Amino acid sequence: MLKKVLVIDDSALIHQMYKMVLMRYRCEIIDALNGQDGLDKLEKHPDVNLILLDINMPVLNGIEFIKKVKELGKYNDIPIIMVSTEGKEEDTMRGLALGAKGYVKKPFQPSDLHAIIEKIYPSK
Amino acid sequence: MGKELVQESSLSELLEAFYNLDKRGREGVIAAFRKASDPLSYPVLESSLKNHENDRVRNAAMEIYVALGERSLPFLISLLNDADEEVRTFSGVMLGTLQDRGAVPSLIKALADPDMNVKHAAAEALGKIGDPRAVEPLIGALATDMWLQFPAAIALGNIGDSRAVGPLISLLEMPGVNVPAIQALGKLAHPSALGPLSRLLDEEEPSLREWSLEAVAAILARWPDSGSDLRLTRKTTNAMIETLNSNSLEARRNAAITLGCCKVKEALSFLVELSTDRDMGEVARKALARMGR
Repeated sequence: MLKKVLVIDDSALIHQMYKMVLMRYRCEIIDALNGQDGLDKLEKHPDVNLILLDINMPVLNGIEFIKKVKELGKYNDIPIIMVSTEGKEEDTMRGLALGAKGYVKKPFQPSDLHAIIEKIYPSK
Repeated sequence: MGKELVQESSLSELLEAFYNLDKRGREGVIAAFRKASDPLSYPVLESSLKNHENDRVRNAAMEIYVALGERSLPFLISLLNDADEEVRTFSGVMLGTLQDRGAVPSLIKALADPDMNVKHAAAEALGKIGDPRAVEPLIGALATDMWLQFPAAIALGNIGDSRAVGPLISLLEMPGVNVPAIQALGKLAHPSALGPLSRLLDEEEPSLREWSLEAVAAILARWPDSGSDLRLTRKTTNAMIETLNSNSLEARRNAAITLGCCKVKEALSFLVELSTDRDMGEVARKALARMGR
């Protein structure tokens, strides 16, 4: 069951959109503005059970974030869904190879994200 | 014309090194770009922005564009017409961060870009700039895709022009996009939105209920007498009385403001109890005063 989601994206507006898209799960949402902030938030919220990760961000980008998570080891069980834009296929493949569970492309519809979440946390 | 102190190649190297430097070092990089002439610095920034292979260099370039402020404006406006949609999107994002009104006509034009991410960035940027020239184009953008409706609605709330009230109210019946509409209507704080927003106060979805209550309370904080005209159902008043015990202090305060302005008698004893509470006392006493107690 989806309980706590860490959303890592450098746009405050996108964070608001995720709150709307994830509303149906009634889960807690933790916001982070870049990969480094995401790692800091994970330390504080190790019970996160899904990470939504933008690829292109300042300070520490999405791919670097996944690599750091792998290095740390202790968060390997948390599924990661990458969020990328057109033209980022290589990064998406790299992220999947590093262990991300899936990806959606901006602009996505809520149903696109729900379908991936459903695969990870089936409602029935 | 004086001799350039730096060369194109050294500016590129500085961008490469940007994220390996501490704060002082980064300020030094920005200073070097400030000192360099436009014909020297902007081609370096543009080619770095278009570097799809190196996010760090691209992000560094974006930080420098913004740090150079107004000087970057014509270059960023020109990049809104670039062939690469990612470059156009980044340009829109940076123009929003710069918040210069000179970018408004070009950003309005970008609302019609073929790429949805560019439109999204343009709408968000227009909201950050807050220029009323964008109101009608943004209202037009409300009748499109969620990916554009969302930033357009938020932008209209930020601009604060009452022409947006009616179009935003018409979004309240649409699941999903009603979320930014609720938030925008709270910011606009126009009393005509009270009735439509109050109908969402007994929504099944807790977040939606909480956001609606926040918007209603924001309007009532500005127009407290409008609460007397608001007809709340028993279900709504019960939900608000329940909210007085919420874990969220903000939600408790919003409920107290609304119950007081709407003179809900059933809430009296609860508000009296809260009137000595450390966090809620002042709001509860004001609510009681509104109810003539």
